[in-house]
Amino acid sequence: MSTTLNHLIQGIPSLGSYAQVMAEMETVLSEPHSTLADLGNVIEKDPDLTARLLKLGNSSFFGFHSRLETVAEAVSVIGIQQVQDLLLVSSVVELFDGIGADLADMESFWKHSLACGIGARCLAIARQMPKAEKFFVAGLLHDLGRLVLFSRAPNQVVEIFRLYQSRRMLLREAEVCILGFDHALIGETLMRSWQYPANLVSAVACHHHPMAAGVYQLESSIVHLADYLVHAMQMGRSGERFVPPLNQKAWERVGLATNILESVIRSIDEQIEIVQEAFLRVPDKAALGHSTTCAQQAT
Amino acid sequence: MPNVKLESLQGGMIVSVDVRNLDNMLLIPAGCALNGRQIDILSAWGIAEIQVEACGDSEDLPDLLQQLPPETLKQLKRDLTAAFWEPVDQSPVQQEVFNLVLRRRAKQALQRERLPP
Repeated sequence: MSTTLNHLIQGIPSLGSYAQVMAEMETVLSEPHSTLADLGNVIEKDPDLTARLLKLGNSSFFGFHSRLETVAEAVSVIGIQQVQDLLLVSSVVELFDGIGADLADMESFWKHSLACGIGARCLAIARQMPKAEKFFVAGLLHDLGRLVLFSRAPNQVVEIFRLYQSRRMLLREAEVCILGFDHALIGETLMRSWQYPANLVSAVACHHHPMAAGVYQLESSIVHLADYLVHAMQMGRSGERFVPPLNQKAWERVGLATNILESVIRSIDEQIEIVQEAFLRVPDKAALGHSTTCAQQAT
Repeated sequence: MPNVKLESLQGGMIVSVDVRNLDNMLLIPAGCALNGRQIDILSAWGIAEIQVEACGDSEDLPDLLQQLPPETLKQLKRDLTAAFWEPVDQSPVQQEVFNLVLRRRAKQALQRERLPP
């Protein structure tokens, strides 16, 4: 089993074409006398990244009322960590750019993932978690393992969906039947190989079983709840046709009142469009096509 | 316009009166929909409570659903129930999510039919 799992993730780079920008940012950040303007100069070398950063900084996602004109201003508002998150997420989007339209509707897949990121961030803020922004990345990457499957094991994906269509079952159960493991384990393994922080890895690894996340139960529970909400809203598609089971203990672990859910759903609805614009490249219309995907056939 | 304590503030609540710090510096203007970062700012300035507009959105569920033709509503409920892997009446949180999503779909259905929500 582990050979197949390792084979699946072998050689997947963590940052793609963004590695250069990230490395230059690290260099600037490590210099004691560097300024936000220096950081801005590094980012401005990438016009696409610059445009998206300004768009995000000026959006309702951050809720600031004065107009941001420069990258340095945007970094000061968004925060250095969030700029790095933007790079990280952009690199993952780029990394899995070529997935065939016959396997998955990627626009819909990313919509689901982004909505989960927004939902996880909102829940973390409501829970007054430190570094709540990190939950956006955790939510966004929760189904990373499915991207690996789509890009590295298309034949098995066809088999998985064939089984999934044949009876009432969850998609991850079909994954286990065909592969011996599910997308959560693939995502966990890949993120470990990228040396991502343990709390982020656990949140992705245990988003279906948050109580198994040991010291990171709370982080995993938040992503689990966000995933549940976004499935219920039918905001995009990850391939799963059902709203997956809710782990009641996860809800109790997070400890919020049920009346918070309304504002989380509203925030997802309000922010999804701007976040899609900021984080996703313009979809390749030719690649999107109009053919029916495996995921759509499952419905 | 209720006073709401910091720990009970939620994203999306509308601030009804300008929020200022002790130096009278404007932190959040009236009319602004709160987000998480602004709640953090309030916390950083030690502000214990602020005034927000009453949120009546959660009380319009019956009205909204009554605007739909009964058959459409029945179909929405049936589709939504079928979408959940497990029954939604097992806990209050599941029931709450079901109701919120049902209302969201009802709004979308009304918009599609170009009826006033």
